[in-house]
Amino acid sequence: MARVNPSFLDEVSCSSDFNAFACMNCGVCTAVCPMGLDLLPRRLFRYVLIGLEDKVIENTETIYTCLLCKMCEENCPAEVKIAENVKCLRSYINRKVFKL
Amino acid sequence: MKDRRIGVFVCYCGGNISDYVDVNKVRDAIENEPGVAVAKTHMFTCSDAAQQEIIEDIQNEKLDGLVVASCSPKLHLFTFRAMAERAGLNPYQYVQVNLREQCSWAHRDNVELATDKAIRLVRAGIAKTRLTEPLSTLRIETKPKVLVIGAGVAGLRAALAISDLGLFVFLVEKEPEVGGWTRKWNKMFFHDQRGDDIIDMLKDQIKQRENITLFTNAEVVEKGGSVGDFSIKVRVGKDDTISLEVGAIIVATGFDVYKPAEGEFGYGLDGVIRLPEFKDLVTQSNGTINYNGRTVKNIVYIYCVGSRQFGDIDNPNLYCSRYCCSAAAYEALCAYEKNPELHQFHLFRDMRTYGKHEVLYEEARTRQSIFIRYEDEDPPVVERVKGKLRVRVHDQLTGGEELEIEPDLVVLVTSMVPRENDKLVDILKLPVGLDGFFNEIHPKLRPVETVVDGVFIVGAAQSPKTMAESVASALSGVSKSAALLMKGYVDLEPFIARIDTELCEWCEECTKACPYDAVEKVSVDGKEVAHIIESLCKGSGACIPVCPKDAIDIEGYTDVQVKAMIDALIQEAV
Amino acid sequence: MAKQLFVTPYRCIDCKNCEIACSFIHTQDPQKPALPRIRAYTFKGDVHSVALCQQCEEQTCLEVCPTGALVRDPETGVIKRTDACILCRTCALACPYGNIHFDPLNKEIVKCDLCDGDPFCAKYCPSRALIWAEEPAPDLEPEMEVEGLLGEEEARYSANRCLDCGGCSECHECVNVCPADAVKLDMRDEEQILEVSSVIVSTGFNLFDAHLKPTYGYGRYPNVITAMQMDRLLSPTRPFNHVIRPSDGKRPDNIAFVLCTGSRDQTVNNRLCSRVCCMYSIKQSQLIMGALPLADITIYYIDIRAFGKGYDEFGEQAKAMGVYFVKGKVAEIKETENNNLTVFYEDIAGGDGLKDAEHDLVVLSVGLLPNIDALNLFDEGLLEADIYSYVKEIDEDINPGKTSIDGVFVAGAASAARDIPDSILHAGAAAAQAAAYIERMRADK
Repeated sequence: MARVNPSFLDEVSCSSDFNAFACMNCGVCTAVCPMGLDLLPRRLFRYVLIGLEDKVIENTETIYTCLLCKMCEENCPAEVKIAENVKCLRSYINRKVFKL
Repeated sequence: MKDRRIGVFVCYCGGNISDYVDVNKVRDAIENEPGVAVAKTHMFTCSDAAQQEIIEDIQNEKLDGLVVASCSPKLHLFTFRAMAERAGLNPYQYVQVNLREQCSWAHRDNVELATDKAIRLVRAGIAKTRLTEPLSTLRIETKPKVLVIGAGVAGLRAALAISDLGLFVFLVEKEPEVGGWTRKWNKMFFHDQRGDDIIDMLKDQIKQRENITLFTNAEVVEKGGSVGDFSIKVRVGKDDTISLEVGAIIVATGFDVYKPAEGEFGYGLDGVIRLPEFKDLVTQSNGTINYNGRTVKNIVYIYCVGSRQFGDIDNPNLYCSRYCCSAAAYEALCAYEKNPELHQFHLFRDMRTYGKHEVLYEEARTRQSIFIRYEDEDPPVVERVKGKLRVRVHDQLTGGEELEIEPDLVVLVTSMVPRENDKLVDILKLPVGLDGFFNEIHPKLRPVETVVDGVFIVGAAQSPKTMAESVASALSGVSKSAALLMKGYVDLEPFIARIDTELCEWCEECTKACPYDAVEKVSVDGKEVAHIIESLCKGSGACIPVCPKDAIDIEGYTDVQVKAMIDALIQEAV
Repeated sequence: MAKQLFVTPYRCIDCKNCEIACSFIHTQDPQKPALPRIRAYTFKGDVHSVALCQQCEEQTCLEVCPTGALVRDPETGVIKRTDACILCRTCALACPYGNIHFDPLNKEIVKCDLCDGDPFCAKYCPSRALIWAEEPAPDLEPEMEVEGLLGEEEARYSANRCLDCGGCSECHECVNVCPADAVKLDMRDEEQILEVSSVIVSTGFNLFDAHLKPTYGYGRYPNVITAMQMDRLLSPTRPFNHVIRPSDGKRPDNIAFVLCTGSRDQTVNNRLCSRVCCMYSIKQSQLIMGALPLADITIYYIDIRAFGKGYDEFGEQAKAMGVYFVKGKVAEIKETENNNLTVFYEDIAGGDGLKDAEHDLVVLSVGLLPNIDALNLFDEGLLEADIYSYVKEIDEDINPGKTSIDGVFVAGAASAARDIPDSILHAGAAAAQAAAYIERMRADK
């Protein structure tokens, strides 16, 4: 059971705004990822939107595996700035996990 | 039986028939049947050129009966009847044999037997044609007046449009106020117009029309007559009953909002409300949205409440209610406009924001609404735990993760359900579908017409619709009514019951069986017998089997004809 | 003796094949056909000949060229233009025979270069007015009134070159054979002026062109077809009598439908839902079930939009018949062995992440787009469009079908994607409004 925590989003949003609201959950991003990362980026962003902090931190490695190649972004039918969001998450992890 | 001169034309249908049925063999088999004067084949009998040739044959060979063996009469019965008429042949001496849908398409695997069946079918057609008699349509003068039942947005708009065309309108509303659901609502999608404004505007226009009479607190209590010439009784207020004569009836009785059962998605708990009630909350709000004195910060919407139901519910609503996804997304936008700090969670199954409504869904997402998809078999659970609302749901979009939300308000996105209209259904003899809404003749091509000629169904009474769609459907009903009435008359098919007064001994069985009250008792030479009121009889045939004396026949489908057809069918093909 | 290009004017029949051949051989970009270097002329009405560069000794052109861009090949004597040309056109003015031209489409100076020793024009001259030979063609025998231009063998060869290209040669055979007398060769476009009080615009929609979604491989992979093509395969008057796949004519046994092709997709600039694709795909899958009872059918979707009367029930019926519904938009399609196809998608409902599945036929459920031609029916700008380029309904809620022009109404998919039931209702509404408008006009008079 995971408690929905709407304020987590504010914590993630740093200088550059995290924004994945436009996502319509079609799954194209996952399917075109050249790294074959199952989790990136649709479901990861959902963790943020819903406020599942543990899940985000659990996936630290995945977040850093992303090449930022923007393959997903090019193919996203909802024009979500996926690479920006991943950068945003990295910055959050840097602060939260690596205490940078 | 006098000698008949029948023309039989067998169609190839460009291969649709001839690929599976040997049409030349069919022609050869029937050309020597008694009464057949001409037997030919055509590549496409419905083509202008073939029709012209057939017309020439009818005239040159002085034919008095015609059989075309082609497709379903649903497609071309009227084509060939009109052709017969152009050739000077009575159109009711034409018989269509369906060789395509009922033979070639059904028996692609066996050409030989398909041909065999085709021969029998054509023979049966010829047998029937031998016994045809010239019939003529029944012409009825129409009354240039329309009854509109229900004065919601669809009824009001329909009344105005009929009045525009110079016809008289009687508008009957059950409630003391006109406007239905639309009057109760504030801003509505897709154009942000206020429902009450729209109703006021329509009401003002109606007041200015001399050819619209509005009855409120009124109910239709009786209907007699038939298309073009209905006589209607309306109860107005408590005791007054008035009689009206109209040519057409438009039914615009609208819908009801689904009322969830106690405990269904937490309905009945403090803080669990339906979408219409939430709409009022949003309207009343200045800045924050308040419920029972508490400020609302987190909202959970649960979609498909009363739609697409499953599981062990009595008489589940299987249908999708169409408007609710868009309405809920729009309401979330309205709520966001009042208070951008809100957290809104939408628990949906499929987002059905069709067409341009997609923009509402998109905007709701970008305005920070979160959409969570629950599985059909695993609906969300709403509880009140230690004074707090709690919603548990498995989110399919997050790999089935079980989520727990503590909202201040749960909005049940309720469906449109059909109104309790049993009395009206009984009076108008309207067909009702499995979903409880009124049924049209054909969902695609004839969506406002019903099997009761001259009675049209519009708006949400036919199926759930948005306001704009209801209005479009209302205007469509107006087109149909006007096309019917502005001509001044209607021609009815002559296929009605006929009483043999010599056999009849008035036992009342037929009048009891007739669903259209078309049988009356008359006295012929001092003998009491049944008499058919032509304008009411639909030729349903309900009276025929109950007649102990076999004194009733349907014109065009007499017992002798049907027996002759059966004899022809069971005869060996070759 | 070296070969030369000989011109015999009296043989020329003015067919201009030489010009076409010349243009053809020199064209680089099909959008910009080259200007012919050779020109066919007619003198005094009936004498035909051709003119082309003589490669003459005077070489005026060479002398006037300010950049020395024209040079004579020392071996063949042919004068050629080089890249030094600055398009000043002085040579064209200087040529005493008018055989140097400026080609405005390709922006270059052109002159005959004898096709580097194999002139194309001569090859395509049917009457031997132009020949590439060591000696001129012999004169016609005085007693021969008619010269057989081709020998029997040549004639047979030429006849066999006919491509049945479909361009009408007005032989009138079709007129003669048509039993319905339906072919008329003398019909011309006709302009008719009709006086009407009201107009209903019912120009429908455009279908999304599946080529515009290159990740789906339409046009590259033979077994990726559009739903429109599938509909043709399933229609009662279908061409093959069976559902078959294009690459090898086999009956497919594992078919995929890809919903939202060109709809709800900003990568092709269409954010709208097309409203009909879910239902037509479900309809087709039910029909395929009938035609190919053993085939597997999978529908890949984002949301199933079975919103109309009876639609959801119809969708459930398809599910019960065994059609698989998979939530996940197809991201990419790749071809594998035997022209089979692999679709890549995220299995969202199953939570299984990235998945791929092989199918032997993929149907793209293409969406609906506005028909922008409708907007040009009236004087420019009069018929207003909405932000999606559909004809705008200025008061959709209360006057559906009313447009920005008084008396002009819109019906059906010209103003928004609509399915048949909604188009029919909308058309009924437009008809009622047009009738009311005409009544008002009459009353005002």
